[in-house]
Amino acid sequence: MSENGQEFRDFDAQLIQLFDAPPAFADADLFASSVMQRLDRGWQVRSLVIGGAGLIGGLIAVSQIMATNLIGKVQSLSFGTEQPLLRSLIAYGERHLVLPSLPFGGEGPWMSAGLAGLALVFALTRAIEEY
Amino acid sequence: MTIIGARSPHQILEGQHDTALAALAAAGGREAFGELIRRHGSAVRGLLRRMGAAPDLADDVAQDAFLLAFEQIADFRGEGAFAGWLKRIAIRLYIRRWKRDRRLDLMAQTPEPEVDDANPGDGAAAGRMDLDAALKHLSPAERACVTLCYGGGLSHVEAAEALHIPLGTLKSHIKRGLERLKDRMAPQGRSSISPVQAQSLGRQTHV
Repeated sequence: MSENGQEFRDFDAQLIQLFDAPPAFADADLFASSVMQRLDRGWQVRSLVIGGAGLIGGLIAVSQIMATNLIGKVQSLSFGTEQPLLRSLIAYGERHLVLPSLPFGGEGPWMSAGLAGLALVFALTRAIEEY
Repeated sequence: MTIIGARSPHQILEGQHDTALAALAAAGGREAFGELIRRHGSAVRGLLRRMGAAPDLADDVAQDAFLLAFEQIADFRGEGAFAGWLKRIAIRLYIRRWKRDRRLDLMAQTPEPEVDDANPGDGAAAGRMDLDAALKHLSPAERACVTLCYGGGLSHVEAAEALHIPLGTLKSHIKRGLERLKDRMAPQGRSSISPVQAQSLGRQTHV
């Protein structure tokens, strides 16, 4: 092998070694904590989004139940039964869950609300990615 | 009862291999991922700066790379080095940023990397300073190509694809970049690398 050929290999190996050695940054700890803060912030926002989506979904579900008068149907089915637990549940529902009747009975508005909720979640997710 | 020699959670993480830390992070271990950031943060930041990114941009992209790595940590199977996997993510993000800012022409001049070495007298530290100083004298294209292949661990084909340039163009940039690096980094009085030999060197490495 020529002297120059050996020189290249030495230089090549030296170059790889130099690239492998990361530079030392005085603010390395600050950088690490910045990344962790962004990570934490992302988690908090996602938690809020998931919680908000769950809340919206829950509200929609309750509204649908109310709109279809499910509790009333269950109550009518339970007439004549002697099951105390079911009666207690129905009574509890009448006391705490029955909301004023809604002005519309169609499912369109609720589907719209659901889609709006999904759009909100989508928009927030995109905002998080951009953030 | 006091357990003599008991280690703190942080000390335990420090003793873990990257692959183990990645597995912990994939299971939701934020502290484990924090340790990976501490280990590889400087390498990623340094790589991006050596590619020609301004310090602020390099740090911004490096942060994004870590966040994306955390999102995709389950994809890391430990088949290669975690640092290599992470660097590829950072390179991809940086090139995407290039495209977005319409700076893929590689013509923009970049400032000198700000490297803070604790012990400038140390041989390795002096060598790093030489490398960073020498990289400043390369054209943006040469700098990006050399750094991608030597610092990012990409093959010539991968680097050409990443930069969206022909393979021959990439090899030319590397050849000229190596010549300039050799000139800048060689001790005084030593002959520089010849173009033919540099081309040969470019073919031998990372292809």
